[in-house]
Amino acid sequence: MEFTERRRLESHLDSGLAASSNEQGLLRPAQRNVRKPRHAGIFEAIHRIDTSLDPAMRAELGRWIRDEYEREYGDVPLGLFAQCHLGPPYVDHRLDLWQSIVEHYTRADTVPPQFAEARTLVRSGAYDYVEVYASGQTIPVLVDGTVVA
Amino acid sequence: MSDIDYTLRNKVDHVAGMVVQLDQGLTQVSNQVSQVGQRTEETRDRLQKLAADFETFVMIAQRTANVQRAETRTGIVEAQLENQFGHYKLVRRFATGVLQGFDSGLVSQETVRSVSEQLMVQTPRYWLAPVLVALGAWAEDDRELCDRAIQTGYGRSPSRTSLFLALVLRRQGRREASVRWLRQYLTALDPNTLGRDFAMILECVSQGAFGPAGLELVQERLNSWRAQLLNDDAKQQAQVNRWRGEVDVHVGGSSQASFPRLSAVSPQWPALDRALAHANAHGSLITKYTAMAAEEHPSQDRIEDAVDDILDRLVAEFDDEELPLRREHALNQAIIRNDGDMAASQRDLPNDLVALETRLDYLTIQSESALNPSKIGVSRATQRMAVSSCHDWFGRAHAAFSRDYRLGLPTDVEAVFEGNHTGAGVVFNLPRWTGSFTDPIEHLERSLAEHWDRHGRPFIDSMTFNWRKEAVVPGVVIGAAVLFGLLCAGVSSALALVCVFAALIGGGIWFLVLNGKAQTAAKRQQDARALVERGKQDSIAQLRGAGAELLDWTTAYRDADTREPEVRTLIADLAQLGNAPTPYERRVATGA
Repeated sequence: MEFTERRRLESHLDSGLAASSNEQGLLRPAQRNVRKPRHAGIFEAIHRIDTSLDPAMRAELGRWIRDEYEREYGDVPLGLFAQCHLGPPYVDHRLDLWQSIVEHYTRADTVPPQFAEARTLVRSGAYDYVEVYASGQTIPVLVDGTVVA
Repeated sequence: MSDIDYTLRNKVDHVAGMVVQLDQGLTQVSNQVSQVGQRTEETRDRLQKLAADFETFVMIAQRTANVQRAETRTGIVEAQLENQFGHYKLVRRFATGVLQGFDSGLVSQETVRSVSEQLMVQTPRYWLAPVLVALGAWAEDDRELCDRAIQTGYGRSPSRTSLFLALVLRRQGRREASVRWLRQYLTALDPNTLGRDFAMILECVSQGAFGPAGLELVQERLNSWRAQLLNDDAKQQAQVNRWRGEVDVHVGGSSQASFPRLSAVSPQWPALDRALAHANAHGSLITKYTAMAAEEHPSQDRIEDAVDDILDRLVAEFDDEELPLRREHALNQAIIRNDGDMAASQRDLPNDLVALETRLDYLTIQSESALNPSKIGVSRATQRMAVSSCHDWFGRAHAAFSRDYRLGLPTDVEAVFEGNHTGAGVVFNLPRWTGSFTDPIEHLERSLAEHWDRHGRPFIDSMTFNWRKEAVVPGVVIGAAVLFGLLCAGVSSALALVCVFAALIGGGIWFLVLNGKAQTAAKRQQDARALVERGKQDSIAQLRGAGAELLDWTTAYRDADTREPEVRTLIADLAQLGNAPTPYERRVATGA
């Protein structure tokens, strides 16, 4: 599947997911838990899902990360946004936790609207990654796991 | 024949003279139009400068008036304070004197009693006066009077009377009685509506003014309050907002003067300027809080000295009645401090006013002790301890501050040149040019140069002398004359010769005239080309300068922004300061 084609498909899946999740009220943030620092296991899983080429492994890791978010912080992000380490022309990427897909973007690519703020924050280079929630909340995560919320 | 020739030549000369005059006139008009355009530009620049100067003048005049008014009001308020509450000072001074008198034994009990009773009469609503009567009665061992005086003082200000007695008894070594008064003081308090005098408790903890039993009692109460209040997200957020105000105070000024070319050409400059000013806050915060973390606060040698200091502060506290005037005084002081800038004064003011509010929750008292120690009446050591207690809110406020200014960074920085950015552009209405600094500067320069060439060429070309157009009329006239001459050849060869000759003479003259016009046009075209070229080079220089300044801005911003982790480390260090032994603990270690 072509890169651009895949991106279009995933965006569609995202919006469908967000809509259904909102309907079920599953993604309402639990503010106090959301501020809890992210633990090292999450960082490691994110790194592995980012570099893994095996779809089954990525799906497994994605499920694990979702469960961790649900259990530890009471809310699961739509996706995570981070700097891309593939090198030029890619500058950043989006990790879809629900589809376990990593989508890489060049500077000229536009990202889904709900990830636009996350992209600006990631470009500052100050955060390890940025969580984007269905509620519209954008939470940057520092390299030591502390969050800005 | 020669008459005709002469007349015709005169006419042609006359026509040629008129054409030359017309041409000169046109050149003159063109120059004048150009001068008018230039003068219009100059006039507009001057008008803009005049408007800016006038606005500055109005602002300075307004600020000067604000300062004068504030100074006048300060004088009036101070006079009112002196008039209405000046005698409270006497009571405060006397309280300190009595305590020292107890130590040295140099003051007779009669003096204490008579003066305290006199002050009691002079200050009918002040809590400290009956408490001093109680002290005098205590020294004389007059229990009945002592009880009545304490009841009166307690009725006027339960919290201050309890705290004062707890401290005085602690000072006199009556520990059990001191803790009883302390418990009395704490039990009556609601952590949501504490008086400003509660800051004294923080001062006592930092100075170790209560004995071990007192400290334990206070710590237990403070911990339970903190846990209770932190369950309320709104209260916590209020503290984070208060600390955000502190972080915002450190935002730097505009750096437009350092980036004149970038600010002139980039529509994103306001966002860039704001981001740099905000990023510079990190350096300012580091300077302020590193100094605080490094400060040494040696404890007093004697516990009595520490208690005396706290008692001094307690008795010197403004009474609630004084607060409206004190608040107005703070407002006027803020205006004077900010040179009449009302907006800056308003930014300064909330912290001051909040510190002067009568009722605060415990968390706010902690924040205020950290942020406005002089207003709430705590020492630098207590301020540092309070900063340590507030590190979580400080950290959250700072992290949110950093996120917010980073979010404000433009995704693209553009250079926009309007037609009037150079004089040349105005002359031929150069359209707007836009380029993005994400492209290499060489590409941008090339694009801008092409823009000038594309729009400058029609202007230059419009000045080209059109031989074909100009030669039509003379060509037709001369041709007609020659044709007429040839037709006349059958009638009169002399007439034909004259016609052809006249046509040739006329043609020659006409050619000379047109050639003169062509040379003038070529000169004007050359001037126009030079003008466009100068404008283009000026424009490219502006673009290059803006590009260089953007690089400088990027370096300055990165340098400032990368100090953010230093602030986080510093806040973590300040949190650790809360674990340092208090003077009280040190005293226990030395057996004091």
